[in-house]
Amino acid sequence: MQQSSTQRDRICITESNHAIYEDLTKEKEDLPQPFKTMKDLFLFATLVGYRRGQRIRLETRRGIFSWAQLSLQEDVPVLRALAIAETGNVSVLANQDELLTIAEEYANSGIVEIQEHVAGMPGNRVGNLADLLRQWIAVGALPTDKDN
Amino acid sequence: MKLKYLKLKNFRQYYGEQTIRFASDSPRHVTVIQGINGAGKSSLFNALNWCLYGGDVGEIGELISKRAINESIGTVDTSVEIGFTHEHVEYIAERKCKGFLSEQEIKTIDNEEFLLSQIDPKGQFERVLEPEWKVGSILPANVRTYFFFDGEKIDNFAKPEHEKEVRAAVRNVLKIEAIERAKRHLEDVARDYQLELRKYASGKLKELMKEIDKKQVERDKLLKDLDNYQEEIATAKKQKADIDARLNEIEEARRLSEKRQGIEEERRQLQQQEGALWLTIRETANSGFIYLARPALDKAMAVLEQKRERGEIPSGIRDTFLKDLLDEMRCICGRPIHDGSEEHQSILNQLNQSVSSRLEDIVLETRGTLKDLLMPRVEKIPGELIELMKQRRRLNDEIESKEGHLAKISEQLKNFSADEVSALEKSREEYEKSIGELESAIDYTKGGIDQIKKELEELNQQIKKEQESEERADRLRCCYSLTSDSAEAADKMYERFAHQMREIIQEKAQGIFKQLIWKETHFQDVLLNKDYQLNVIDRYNLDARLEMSAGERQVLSLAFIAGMAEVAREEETFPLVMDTPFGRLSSAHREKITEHLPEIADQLILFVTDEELHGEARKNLEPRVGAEYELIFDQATSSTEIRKIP
Repeated sequence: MQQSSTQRDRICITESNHAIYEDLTKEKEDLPQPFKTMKDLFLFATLVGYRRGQRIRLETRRGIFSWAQLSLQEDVPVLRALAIAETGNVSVLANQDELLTIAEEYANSGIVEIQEHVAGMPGNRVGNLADLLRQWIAVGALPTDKDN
Repeated sequence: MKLKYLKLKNFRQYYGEQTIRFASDSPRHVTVIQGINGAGKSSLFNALNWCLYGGDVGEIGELISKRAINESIGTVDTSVEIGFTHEHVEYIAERKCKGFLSEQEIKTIDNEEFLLSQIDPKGQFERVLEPEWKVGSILPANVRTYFFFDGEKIDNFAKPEHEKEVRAAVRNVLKIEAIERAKRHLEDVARDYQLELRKYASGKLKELMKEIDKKQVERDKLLKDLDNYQEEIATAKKQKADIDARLNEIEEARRLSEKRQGIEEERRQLQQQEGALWLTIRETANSGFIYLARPALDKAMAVLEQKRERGEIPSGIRDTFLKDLLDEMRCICGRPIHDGSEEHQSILNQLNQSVSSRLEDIVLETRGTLKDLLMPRVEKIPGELIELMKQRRRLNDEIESKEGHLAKISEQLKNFSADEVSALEKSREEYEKSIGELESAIDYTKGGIDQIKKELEELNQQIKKEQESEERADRLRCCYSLTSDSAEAADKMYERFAHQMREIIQEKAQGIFKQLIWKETHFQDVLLNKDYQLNVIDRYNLDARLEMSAGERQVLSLAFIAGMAEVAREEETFPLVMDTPFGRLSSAHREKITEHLPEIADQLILFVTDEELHGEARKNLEPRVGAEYELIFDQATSSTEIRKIP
């Protein structure tokens, strides 16, 4: 089947970004890190990348979590919606590999901005994250889709 | 004093009323009353004494005439009346009594009565209210014996060891007794003052002053101690107050510390809340990817809606139905479908264009999720995040406020150290102990001061009293000094006066003695020495008294009495009344005495026996005799008649 041939389970990031992922998720001195898990960071980074309208191909791949860790209520539908929005075709939903690749490439783009605004700024990183998000909320309309 | 008359009424053997009028005018101022022994000379002599001086003149026997008593059936009045002049005033003295016979005994009724009247120049009688006193002032009772005397007894003056009598005579006659009395009184008073002074002159004031000085020193010391104690206690109290203040501050520190703990706990809770909130924020922020996914969601939804509008989803023709048609190659209407036919190609195209059923499930599921879950979620995320951030800010503000408090408290607490409290407590205990001790010391000292104050008050009162006593003592000393000085002065005056008098009397007596004694060449001198010894010095300058005869001693005594009388007479005249003056004298002495005595005495009344006065003596006296009486004793009646000799 076509579906089974595109089935991929591990979600990967660029190897060089792994330190960022660790830095932003691994709790230090009981201080909460801005992202609970690498999965959460990955999803956020994906959407930041999508907001930036930039996909960057992964140079070296490092798996950070598996498909099973994605929640079916929020995570998977968002990634599917992203893939549909990206391809304009629902069939992409049948191609998990493509779906993940889209996400991975957007995440690879978004992580840099997150690192810059959340870890690169002074203060509580959770607060920085929340402030960043609030800024975007305040801006209201999100940047228009590059496709539109 | 000159005696004018003597009137007897039933006095002893003088029955009835009889009178003798005395000669008093010089040169015939001699009255001679002669009578044999037992005729009544002594009774007459006693009548004079009794009249003037009363019963205390000595034992004189029955006063009342036995004959009169005998003749009377009732009471008998007895009286003696004397008329005399003194200092140009005439007096009549009368002493009387009543008596009756009872069982052969004469009983007197009532007391004697003594009356003294003076006759003023107009001849009016005036009763003297204090007759005894008046008579005493004219001729004192103790003096009269030198003027009215028994000649046979007067030689006492000249006997050795009789200076007492001589002294008494000089003193009494010359009235120097008054000075002596004054001196004695002054001495008595001085002694009284001295005795009184002894009560005061105890040196008590000095002792009290010493005591008060001592007490004042004690008091001053206690007052100084009190000052020191009070200063110390004030310092100790201040130190304690400072410690208390510091401990209060430390208490404040404890309170602050507790408060800090509370605030820290509150902060901790807030921080926990904050931590939890951060986690919530993170969760919400982490789910923010959904919000960020909104354009994608919108776009995906649009694609999906398009698919649905096109009927591509749901496709309505299931793949299996198309596949069944191809497998059977027959239409549902029964007509065969031929390979390569138009129908066959349409079925293949439909099959190629149709979404797989799994994909359709996914798409449908995705659409449903996007529509029903994610889109509403996207709407909520900003609100949630904003609310959470507000909460976080509030929490942060609260935490910052707490931290501000904590910082402030911490700053305040920097001034305290734990060690300080125990050191302060120790000091405080010491000060408290010290204050207690000082308070006791102050109480004790105050008690001591109060006690001394009381003692001082008492001492001051005693001193005041003593000072008053001292003042009194001063007055007493002054009085004592005055009286003792006066006594001394009186003594000196007395001594001087007595000395003068002694010399004068000595001189007079010497002159008279030489006139009266026949051995005037043998007896060189009469001496009245300071011990009032009446001495006669013979030509060998030796004491001649022991060898003098009784008659010579009588002459010496007479000379002495006459000398005194002469000295006394310089102020006032006195009669010499002599009972049997010449009894012991030899004729030579009698002649001498009768020759000179009338010159010596202002008035001379001689009670003599017929034997005493005769011959030359009588002849000598004759020109001086102004009155002469004879006492005739009637043996039939045992009474004496006074008969005037013309």
